[in-house]
Amino acid sequence: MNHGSHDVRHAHGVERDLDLHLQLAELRRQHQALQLQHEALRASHQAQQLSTEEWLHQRTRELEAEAVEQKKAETLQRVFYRIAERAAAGLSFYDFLQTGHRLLGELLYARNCYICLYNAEKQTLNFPYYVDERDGDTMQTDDVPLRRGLTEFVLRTERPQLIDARRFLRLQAQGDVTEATGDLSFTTWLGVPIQMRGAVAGALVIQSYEGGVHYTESDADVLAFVANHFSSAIERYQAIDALHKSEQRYRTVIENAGVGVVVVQNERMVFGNPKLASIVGHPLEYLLSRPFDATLHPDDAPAMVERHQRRLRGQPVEPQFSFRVITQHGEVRWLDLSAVKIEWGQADATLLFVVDASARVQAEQAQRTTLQKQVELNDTKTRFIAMTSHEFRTPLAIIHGSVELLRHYEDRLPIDKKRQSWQKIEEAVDRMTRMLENVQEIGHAEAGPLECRPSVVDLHVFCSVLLDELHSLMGAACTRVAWSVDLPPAGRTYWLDEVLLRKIIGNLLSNAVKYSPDGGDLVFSVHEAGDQLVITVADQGIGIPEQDQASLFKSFYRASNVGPIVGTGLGLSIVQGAVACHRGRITLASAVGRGSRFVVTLPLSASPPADRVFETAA
Amino acid sequence: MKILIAEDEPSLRENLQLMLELEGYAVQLANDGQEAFAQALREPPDLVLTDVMMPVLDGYGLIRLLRADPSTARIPIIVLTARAEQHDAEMGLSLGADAHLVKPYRRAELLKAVQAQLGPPAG
Repeated sequence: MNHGSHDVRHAHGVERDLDLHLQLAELRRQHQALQLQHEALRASHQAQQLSTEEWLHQRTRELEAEAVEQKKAETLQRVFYRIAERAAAGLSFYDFLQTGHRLLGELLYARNCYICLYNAEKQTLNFPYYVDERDGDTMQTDDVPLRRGLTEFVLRTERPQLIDARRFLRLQAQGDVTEATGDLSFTTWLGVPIQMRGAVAGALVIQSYEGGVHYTESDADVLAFVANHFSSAIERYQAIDALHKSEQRYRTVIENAGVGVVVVQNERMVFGNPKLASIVGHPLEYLLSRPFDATLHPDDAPAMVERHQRRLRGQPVEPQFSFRVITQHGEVRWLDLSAVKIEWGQADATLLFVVDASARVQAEQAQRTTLQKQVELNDTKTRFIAMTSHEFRTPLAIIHGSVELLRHYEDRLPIDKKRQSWQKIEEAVDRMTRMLENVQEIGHAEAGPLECRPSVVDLHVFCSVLLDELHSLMGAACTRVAWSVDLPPAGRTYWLDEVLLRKIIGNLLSNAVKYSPDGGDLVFSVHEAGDQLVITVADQGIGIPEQDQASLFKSFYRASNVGPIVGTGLGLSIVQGAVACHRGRITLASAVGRGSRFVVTLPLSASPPADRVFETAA
Repeated sequence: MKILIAEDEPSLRENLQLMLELEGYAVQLANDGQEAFAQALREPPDLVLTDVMMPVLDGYGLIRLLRADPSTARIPIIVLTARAEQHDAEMGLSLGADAHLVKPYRRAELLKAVQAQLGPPAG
């Protein structure tokens, strides 16, 4: 529509068009520049935004790692603390190691773990703990000889060893590990040395199989830390174990010792071994709950207590001696004891070793008895020889002398002297015959025990007959003494053995007469005293010296003051045998020059009660 | 020639006395050592025959006393003992006895011993 006018205005219009065009181009250029600038700005902005993100991201990662480390450190701390705590908890060594293993599992993948301890003395390895998914606990064993295995490699190198399949091959190729045992298909095997007292004393090992983890150097560090914490605990366990074993050894020795072992402190037994109980014959609890002298024989207790106190005061005491105890069952036992002063629980005490000496003492006593018997037999023999040489030689000398007188001086001997000589011969023969009878009797008595065969005896009649016999046998000698006879009433009967009674009363009476050469009173009394019969024979004769009284009842023993009075030394021996056979007793009281008094008591209860005393109507 | 006999056993004492008197010796008798010593002091014999086991003072005691006293120290002594053991014989001789006979002794032995000390009896 502006076309018509276009021409007119054309000239004018062309100029204006050019201007516009120029302006437009300018504007376009400006726009482009702006656009570029904007692009640059945007790029720079973009770039800037990108690095911030990256920084933030990295920073976040760093922070995260720090947190992990922190946590790891905390876990480590906690684990170490608990290892120490467990170690002090009094667990068994194995339980401790098991706990340690569990704690280790909180730090690392530790499904398979073992601990090896090196015994330098025996040159062996002990595996006190071995848990393995493949090997189980078959490797948990002691006294394994050293060889070129993986564990030994750690011990040898004294460094942590992280071994994967490739390194394992290399080690084998180099000859470092040629005798590895167990399942060797591990992904990684990580072993660290356990140091004790500045030397390698073992190894702590973990390993992973297919499906487990690959251990890293930092795992090795952690494991080394743990091993370090284990070592002090293991050391303590080993010390305790050594102590325990040592104590166990001592205990075993003490408990099984053939001697009783006692510790006495403050007058009480504070320790006793089982043997003590069997030696003393009381339960150990009883012994430990009583004063130490409770079981001592009363005769030995004062001396024992005194010795004990002297020892505690540090005064000299014989180190060994014998004493008696009374067992629970009342048996008296001889014990030999040796004692030393010791310290027990930081106080003074006495350590005693006790041996049952009963056998020894018995043997000694048996030996002594045998010896005594031997000595007695020898004594008897000596006395017999002395007696026969004197008592038989004298009548023999009389016979011999008389015979020689009769033969050599027959023609010159007055008839009365001849008669006297014959009579002397007869008397001497009688004397010898009587002595021989006594010897025979004692021979009988010593060959076998006398027998007690009681019967009803009227003692009045019995004793009267005996006195008559004595008078006719001893003649004038019997009239030298003033008799005082006191017998039970006639008709009163007793249950006694007549043969034994004859031996007892006959010998006592003939002795009393024989040893009263100057006469004096002779008391013969028989009476009842309760359930006993008391027979008394007392003279005022030569008496018996005190030193002879103890031996007086021995065969062939005669008192030193008998002088020319004839005898064999058998009478009282026979009396004693008869009294013993009748379960009676004989006592003697005598003084030289004043006389002797023999008292025999015979039990009347030995007879059946109904037959004991027969009272017949007088 | 006077012989003192110390013997506590009457029969032996009598036999000895009878025999020695029949042989021509004078005899004195004593029942024990003490009696014998007293007699020896009062009337010293030419020979003493003594038993060993006697009351009061035994034969050994008698020998000691006789040997200790100057008036009897030189009287010969013959011990007659019923104890046959060697040490009994030695004991008597060691105390100063001159001879020793064990009972029962033969008459011939005794006379020989007596004559050895005294020579044959006078007459």
